[in-house]
Amino acid sequence: MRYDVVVVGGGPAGLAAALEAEKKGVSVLVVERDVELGGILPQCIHQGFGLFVFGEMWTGPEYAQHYVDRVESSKNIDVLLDTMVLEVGPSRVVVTNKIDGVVEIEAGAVVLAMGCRERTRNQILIPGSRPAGVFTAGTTQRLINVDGIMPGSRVVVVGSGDVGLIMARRFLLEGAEVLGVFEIMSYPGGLGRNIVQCLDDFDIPLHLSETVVEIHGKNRVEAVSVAKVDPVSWKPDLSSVRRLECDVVVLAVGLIPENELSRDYGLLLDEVTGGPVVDEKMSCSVPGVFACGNVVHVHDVVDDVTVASIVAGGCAADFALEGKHEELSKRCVVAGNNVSYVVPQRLSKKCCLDEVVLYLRVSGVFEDVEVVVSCGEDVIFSKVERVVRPPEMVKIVLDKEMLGKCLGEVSVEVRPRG
Amino acid sequence: MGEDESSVTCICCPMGCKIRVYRQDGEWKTADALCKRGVEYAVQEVVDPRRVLTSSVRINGGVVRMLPVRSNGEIPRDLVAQAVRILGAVVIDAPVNVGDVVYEDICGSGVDVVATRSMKRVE
Repeated sequence: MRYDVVVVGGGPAGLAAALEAEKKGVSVLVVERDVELGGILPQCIHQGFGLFVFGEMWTGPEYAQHYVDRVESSKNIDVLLDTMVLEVGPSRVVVTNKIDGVVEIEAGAVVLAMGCRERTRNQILIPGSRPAGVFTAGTTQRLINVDGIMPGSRVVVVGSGDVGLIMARRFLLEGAEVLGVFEIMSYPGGLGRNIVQCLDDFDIPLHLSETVVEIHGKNRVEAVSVAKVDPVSWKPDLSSVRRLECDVVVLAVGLIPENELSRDYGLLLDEVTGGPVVDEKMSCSVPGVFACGNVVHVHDVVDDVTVASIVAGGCAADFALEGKHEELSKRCVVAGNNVSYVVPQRLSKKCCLDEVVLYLRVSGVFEDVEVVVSCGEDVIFSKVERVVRPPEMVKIVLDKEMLGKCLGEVSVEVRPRG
Repeated sequence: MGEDESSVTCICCPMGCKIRVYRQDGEWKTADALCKRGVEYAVQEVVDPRRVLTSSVRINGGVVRMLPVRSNGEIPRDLVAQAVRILGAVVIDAPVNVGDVVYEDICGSGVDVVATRSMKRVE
């Protein structure tokens, strides 16, 4: 079996990449481990998807449906569902499922679109016993919205990322009591609009600089202890400990790009993003391997995933058609002052795209600043922002002219104004 | 300071603008909104807050047990909780197409609740 482009993962990133590749007239295979396409979107039943790409306020399932319908009616895209990718190698992908066993598929180019997974209790080390009832937010989202199962009735949410806020509201609307959302940081992890429509609308308290320090219960969660923390060191103030009786602990404590396949293949990974190092074509450190979506870095909104995945899918198709084996460029895009990361991390010497979008996250909350892209002494782009926050990705669009102004390393920093 | 001044965080997009809403000569005015959507939202939020309701209902014969739904327009914010309770008792049968009406005129709001995905019938 051979396809020009094999896409690993049938979520929003994989589907957008597959459709863009197909437009160039190549054969495409999408491999998806779930029994249906759409990735995480079908369980994200809330609104707010598609504003930037479609001018719509869709729900997650509607956004997925838009792509699933197109992929299913496409003649040149095949889909393997309920199928795991075991290995990605040079020009090949090894997959397995119940019907075909283990199969090796030849690939002209590969697009990695495995998405991300949630941090669990193990990654944030909450002390206490290990009873049932401690869930990641996404697991409770799946249980309630897709499987129709309520995980419990008295809920404590740890972490104020968007999924945590959305699940606090969902639990409450489905009849549970939500005791509060506890955030170790001094500012919320999720978007302002979700603080308003998920917490404020329903009087769910948000406790900043406060977190769970112990989980109690033998077979099932019975209670948690929460304590205020020092805003800088995050050290708990043990004089502030209080006990909350509950039967569910929801963890919304961040997402990690899922890169087991990338790591096994030996792709160069970025320690900060947790995803592969890519150039503006979303090409990884091995020629012919592309990556897009949350496997590269965790995005705020699916629209940005779609935009980056169109680039990856198109460039993967070009690679399959032309077969030009270019090594990953050594020209770096560096995260400068007050910036924690920038994607893409590399830029080709000769950029073939009309524009390149730089996605960056700042390392703290900064007011009245200038976001500056420079190349040596030359400033090639700058924009003023009233406020920038780590949960809100900053986007910079560089056109050909700006990129043509320099050939060396590019640095992005956030400077105070004046 | 205008009359009846309040501050509204916009929920229309991830920017989350903080918009000031106040009354001047009997008319609602806004400040600090970065787009038209925000102006409309902020005034609506002060006069008569509305939300799009999203939930899921039981479905028989589908690939999964629940079908995601939303109100086909905004309903008064204070009706959202009651609407979700009503939808908790709704059971429908696959197949369903995205946009199909699942419940008409939820809570007398005049707004229907529709499916947000298609689901084939699986035997």
